[in-house]
This record gives sequence, structure tokens and C-alpha cells, in this order.
Amino acid sequence: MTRSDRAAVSIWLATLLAGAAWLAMHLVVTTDLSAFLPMAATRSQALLAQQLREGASSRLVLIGVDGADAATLARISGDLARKLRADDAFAIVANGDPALMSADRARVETWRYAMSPGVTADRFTAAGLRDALTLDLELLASPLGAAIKGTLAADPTGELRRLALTFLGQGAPPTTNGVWFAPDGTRALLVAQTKAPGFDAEAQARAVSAVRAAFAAVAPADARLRISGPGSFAAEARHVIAGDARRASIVTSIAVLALLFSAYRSAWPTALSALPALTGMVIGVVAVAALLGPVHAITLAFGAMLIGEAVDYPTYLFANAAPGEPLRETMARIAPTFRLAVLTTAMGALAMLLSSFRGLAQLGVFTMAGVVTAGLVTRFVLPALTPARALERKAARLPFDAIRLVGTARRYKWTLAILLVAACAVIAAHREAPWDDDLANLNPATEAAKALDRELRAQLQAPDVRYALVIRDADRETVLRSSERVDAMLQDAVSRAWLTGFDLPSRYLPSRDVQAARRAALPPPDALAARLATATEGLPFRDGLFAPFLADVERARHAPALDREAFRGTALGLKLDALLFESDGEWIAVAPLVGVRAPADIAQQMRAAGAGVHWLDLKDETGALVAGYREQSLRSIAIGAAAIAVLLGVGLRSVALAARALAPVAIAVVMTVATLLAFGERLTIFHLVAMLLVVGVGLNYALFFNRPRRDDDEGRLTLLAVFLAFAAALIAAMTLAVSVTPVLRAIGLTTALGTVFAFAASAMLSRDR
Amino acid sequence: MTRALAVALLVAGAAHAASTADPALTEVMRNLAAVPTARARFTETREVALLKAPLVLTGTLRYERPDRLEKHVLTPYDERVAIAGTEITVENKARGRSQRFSASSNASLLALVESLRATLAGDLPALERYFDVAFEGGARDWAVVLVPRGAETLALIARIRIAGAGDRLRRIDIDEAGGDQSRMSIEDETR
Repeated sequence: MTRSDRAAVSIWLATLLAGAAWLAMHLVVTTDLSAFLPMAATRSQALLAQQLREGASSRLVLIGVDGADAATLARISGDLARKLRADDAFAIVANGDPALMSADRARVETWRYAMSPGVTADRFTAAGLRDALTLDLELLASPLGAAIKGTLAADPTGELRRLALTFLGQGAPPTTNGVWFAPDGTRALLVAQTKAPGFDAEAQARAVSAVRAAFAAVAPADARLRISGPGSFAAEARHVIAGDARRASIVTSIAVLALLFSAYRSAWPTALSALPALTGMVIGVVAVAALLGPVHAITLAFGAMLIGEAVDYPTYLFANAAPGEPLRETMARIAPTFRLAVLTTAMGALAMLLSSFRGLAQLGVFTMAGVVTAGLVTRFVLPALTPARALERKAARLPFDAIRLVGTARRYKWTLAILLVAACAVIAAHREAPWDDDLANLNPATEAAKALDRELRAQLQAPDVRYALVIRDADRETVLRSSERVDAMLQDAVSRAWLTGFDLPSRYLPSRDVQAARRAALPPPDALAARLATATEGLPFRDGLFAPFLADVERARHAPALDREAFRGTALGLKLDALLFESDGEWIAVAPLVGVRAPADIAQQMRAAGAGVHWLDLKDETGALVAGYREQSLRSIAIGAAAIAVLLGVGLRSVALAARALAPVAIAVVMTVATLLAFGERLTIFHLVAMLLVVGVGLNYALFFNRPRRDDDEGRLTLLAVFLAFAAALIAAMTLAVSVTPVLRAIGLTTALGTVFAFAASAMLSRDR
Repeated sequence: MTRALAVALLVAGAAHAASTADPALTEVMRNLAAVPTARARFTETREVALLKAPLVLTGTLRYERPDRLEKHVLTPYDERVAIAGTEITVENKARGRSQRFSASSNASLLALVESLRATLAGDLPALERYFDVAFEGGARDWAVVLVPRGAETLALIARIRIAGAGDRLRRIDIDEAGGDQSRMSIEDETR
């Protein structure tokens, strides 16, 4: 080993070990899909994204229990709720049982004259009181008079009743045997809110396990548990992505190493082939972690692709070695082509790196760092590490007459013209809607899981995940006043069946103005007593029955303003915190909407609600973001392509040669897009990403196919190298193409198609000598 | 030993005899089951602790075998409660209010509805599902006394006494757990 060899090996070893050590200590892997969402462009979008990640709706666990008779289900519901309440992971557990809301009831009872919209001056006139009392009598006469007997003395005007109706009226499932049931009575329903935010997939997975464990402890064998919600999707996504990543890496590694062994027929070069890829992966992950923070599991799975690609480089080196030729000379021989191959692949990743999608930026950094590292290791370290006789038994040619095959292929290059025209026709046919901008399709959950979620959500009347109303202002009271205005407008919308329900913070915490007005509507004690006496004349209520009422009204007249503090420690308090909060110096009110049927009409209505009220359609918003992002990406890709073209022109010192190298790649891209569209696959940003990879890898084939060669033997060596590289890339791509995770599937499918077309086209368009 | 055995047998025999329905009760139930429809006027007096004078309601009752009931209060206000199976509709024209809900959401409500319906339909098994049934009198002049079985219902209603003559109902008396009472007299039944 020469001095420079030793230096190269030492540097490599040191870097590798340092990188591995750093990763062992600092690596954080995340499966949060929102890393693949674009950075929000507007404040409202950022808010929506934040709500999705950690808002109250992201923490809901929707639970259904079926498979037994109603009485058993009710019992299970009660036991399950009790067990979950004892678990620290959950902030609220609700199953419809009123007994469990006693703290909330007490609070609402205390503050009813501040909270109830029924508190108006008219209500407390003698006529108004008489109306209320007459209704009370009718209610007492009914067989369920028991409900009102407890509160009549203190609350004859029925404020508590009205508030209960409002809070429940915004949609709760019907109750049977005291707990929530689906309308058809076959499923008991519960809803739990985790303390951990929705994006913490680890904690969400734990919460889901806790529910399953609690259920197993209280339910008989034939009862079934159904769980859904953002947290359970996150947990499931984590499981699926991790599974795919593991499978892809293992299968690809084993298959590719087996392939190489069959060509080298010696363990040493096969083992060494792994080094550039491994080093590339380590350095790639270090680069991502150091520059961009937590590494996404999808990025790691993408590493499987890198394995297939980075194995190309040692393959080009080893496979091209003539029998008995020292590797140093082989490297010298192929250096120009090799250098160009590495640089063009790295350029292909540049477009990804420059994107504002965090996830794509990660893939870009990973690919660039990994590819360049793999190239350097192949160039400098492998020749130093490979013993002289390691390649003795290596095959010098493919087991079939490749040169003749390529010659035959060249004769059919006119078919490319036809295929190209067909491809263009297909693309033209799909030009209206080739893109799939719906991020919901990124969710790896099965269709059955998504259907269950929709069902549970509808049964529980949980808020819509797609539409929301957001009210923003620097001043909290302004937000509350807007909320009150919106309340009236939404009630109108409900009466027009535009939606079935909604919730607003002003229902729990009225604005100071409204509270003051209500306080003013309450008459002073002597006036109230006199009016009450007039109202009760002729009615059979016991004398002095309403003393508690008089006392409560007087207390309410002098009470301080209602504030969030009053609800501390109750479920209502948690709800209020989710509906009204401060963020970045502004106050934000979020209005969850249930059963939205006419979004356009509501949006129209909300335009008149004033500044500060924003209607958000998540699907539209993210769709617009993705489309905008796509425009940006296509522009970066164009720049990347131009850079590659220039690089090729300079590197090959000939425009004609550059064109000959680029043509098969261009054809491959067009044909890949056409094939994908023809099979009904709509293109996402990830197909785009994979296409960049195809360009990088495809160029390698074109460059090596067109490399000047001295004689047929050298030609056969080159073909062996290219074929092995192609086979390895195809294996990696196909492993990904069978993933469950949509992102990985998209990347795998595109790369598989692309490499096949690029290989074939490069062969057909290669020059003769 | 044999004495103990004899006593045991005697007690068992007595218990057995008590658990078999009184033949008079069976006859009453059969007579009631034969009635396809019935209409009547009622006067109900409700004594409520909160009130210093009882509430007096009058109106009409309607029944259609096997599970349709209607109580239409005419004075002092107009309210119609219609029950079909377990679905209850409450209509109050003056207040423009119409509510529909299911009795199955409330065990006590269901028991209350069944106490009347099952008696009118002569459905003893249904009565026994919700109540301990005691029988007084004979086939021509009878009363069933119902004590709720479910703890939830028992917390609201202490007992219901339905009295009748032949195949017609005459009185429904409800004693609530808190001490309040409802006394309903039924008259002028037509078929």
C-alpha cells in the first residue's frame, strides 16, 4: 500500500467511525408525516397545520365497542371509561355518563346567569317570569318531572336546562342505559383525549395500547373494540413505515450482494462493494441530522434506494477490471466517465435539496451527501483496500453475447420513435389532471381503517377534520365578540342544514360586554321579589319556594366577570383551552364544525363576518400549497437538468456526445410518465423526486454505454458492469415498489420503470465504437 | 331430620304455589289481551311537594294493541304524548314544540311506559320483566301492584297500582320515591 493509499484508508475509517459514533449518540428518527408537508405559506395555514399536529382534535381517540347486547355494552363502556380515567395518559374520557361530568355541572350551575343566552331583560319581567313558571308546571306534570324538581327552586327560568341543551345540542350521540350509543344501538361509543400531542406517534401508540389493555381487562371474549383517530393513524403509520423501511433494506441488501457474488465469485470484492454504500448512508444520515434535524423514517427507507445506486460505483470499478489488471489502473481508465457519473447523479439530487418541503430537502441532502461519499470511497479507498488477487475469479463477461445483443438492440432504435409518440399521446390524453395534490393519499392507513374512522366520527359527531373556522386578533375580547357574532351566523347556517353543529369558545366564556349586559338584565332583589310575586299569583307553587332563586340572582348581579380560571380542572376547562388560546402574540379561537354539508355557502356567509374570521378548507389549502410547491419544484428541476447538460457538455468535451447521453434519459422519463398515467397512477411530488433519481442513474448507463473502448474485451467488461448496476438498481426499486407506504411505493414504481426504460434506451442509442 | 325435611318440603311447596300466577290474574290478563282498542277520558291529580296545591290534568287516553298508546292532556294545557313501541313523540301546539325520542335511552321511562302498555295488552311476562307483580282481588274487580325491579327505576318510582274491572282500567296510582304522587281515574271507556 502506498502512502496516499494509507492516508485515504485512514481518513475514510476515521470519518466512518466518527460518523457512526455521532449517530449512535444523537440520532433522532421521526415518523411524523407532517415533515413531508410543505411549510405553511400564510398564518392561517400555519395555524391549521399546528392544529393538525397538536390541537385538541389531533389528540382524540375514538372508541367503539360492539359485539354484545346493549346492557353488556353499557357496562363495558362504564368500566372502560373508569379504567382509562385512572390512566395518566388521558386528559378527558367521555362516554356520555352524566355522573362523570359533575364538576362541570357544578361550574355551569354557578355561572349560569353569566353564560346563558336566555338572560335578557324581558325574561325577568313579571310576564317573562310567568311564562317560565307556566312551562315549569307543565314539565312537572309530565312523568319525567323528576328531572326538573331538583333545580326548580333555584332556577325557575331554566337557564341550566338551556345551557345543557346548547352544550349537548351541538351534537352528542343518543344515550342508552346512560351511555353513548350509535344510532342503531349496536355499538357503545367513547371518546378520549390524550395529554400527548398528535404528532408524538410514540405516545399515541402507547395510548392506543392502553385502551386495548383496559378493554381486554373488562370485556368478555366476544365483544370487539374499534379504535380510530389521528393518534391511532399516526401509530399505525409509524408501524407501517418502519416495517417497509426494514424490509426494503434487508431484502435489497441480501439480493444485491447475492447478485454481485455471482459475478465476482469471491467474498472479498462482494463484501467490499458494501463499503461505499454503507459509508454513504452513514454520512448521508449525519448530514441530514446535522443540517435538518430529526431524520424521517421515510428518508431512511430511501436509503434502500441508495444502496442499489451506490453499489453501482464499486460495480463499475470491479466489473471493469480486466483479468490481472491492478485496480489502480482500472480506476485510471474509467476515471473520466466515473467522475461524470457521480457528479451528474449528485446534480440530480440538487433540485430536492433546494425544496422547501422539509421531507424532500432531507432526501436531497441524503442523496447528495451519500452519493458523493460513495463515489469518493470507491475512487480512493477501494483500490487501496482490495488485495491484488481478489478479482481473480471474477467473470470477464456476461454469460451471454452481450455485444451482439446490444448490436441487435441498436438496429431496433426506430421503435423508440414509435413508443415516444405513443407516450406523448398518452401524456396529452391525461394533461387535464395528471397531478394528485391530495395529501390524504399519503396516509398509509388501509381503506378499511379510513372507513372505520369516518364511521366512528359520524357516530360520535366528532368535528370535521377538513373544515374549520378560525378567529384571530391581538385582543381577546375582540375575538370573543367576533365569536358571538359568528355564533348567530352559524345557528342560521344550522337551521338551513348547511352543517349539523358547531362549538365556539364564546359559549363557555362570553365576552365582557355580553356578561355586563346580562348582569344588567338581572333586576335588583326587591324588584325581582315583587315581579315574582305577581308572576306566581294563582299558580300553585309553595310560598317561599323560590328563595334560592332570589339569592342566586343577587349573587350573580355582584359576581366578578367569568374567566377561564373558573373552569380550571374540569372537562369544560380543557375544551375551552382547546377552543381559545394565545399563540405568537395573538388570541386565536377555533370553531370545530360538525357535519358540514354546504361548505361553499358557509364560506360565503363567513365573508360577511368581518376581518379576523377565516374559513379554512384543509384539503384546498394543502392542495394549493402542494400545487404551488410543485411549480417551484418543476422550475428547480429545469435548472438541475440544465446544470447536468452543461456538466456533460464540459465533461465530454462535445455537445453531440452530451446529447447522445441525455437522449435516452429524456426518452426514459417521458415513457415512465406515460406508463404511470396509463395505469391510472396520478403523479405526486414523490414521483417527481424519483424521476430525478432515474435521471441520475440513467445517465450512468448512457455514459458507460458510450464510453470509448479499445477492443471487444473491454467492451464486454463495460457491459458486464452496466448490466450488474442496472440489475442492482432494479432490485432496490422493486423492493420499494411493493411497500405499503404510498410515498415509498411511488418512488419504487417510478424508479423501476425509469431504470428499465433508461437501460433499454441507452443500449439502443449507444454508438458503435 | 325427617321433621326438618318435611318443613323444607312444605316451605318449598308454598313458594312454588306463590310463584305460579294466580288463576284470577291469568284470567284478567287474558281478558285484557282480547281488547283490540280502547278510548277513555281521564282525570289525573298530581301531588308535588314543591306545589302547595295539586295539579289537576284532564284529557283522553287511547290504546291500540299491542303497543300504541296516546295520552292527550286537554286541560290546563294542550299536550299530546304518543307512544309507538319505544318511540315517544311529545307535541305541544301552543308552544310549537314537537320532540321525538326513544324510550330505550332511559330505563325508568321504559319501565313506566311498559307498566301501562303491558297491562293493557295483557302481557304478564313483559310486566314481570320490569316489576315484581302482586295481584289483588278477583277477575271482576282487580288491581295489580307493581314494584320496579331495576335500581335506577326504583330510585324514582316506589310503586304503581293499576286497578280495573273486567277488561277495563279504572285507576292508575303512581307513588314516586320522593313522596310525590299521581292519581288517575279513568272513565267512560268506549271501544
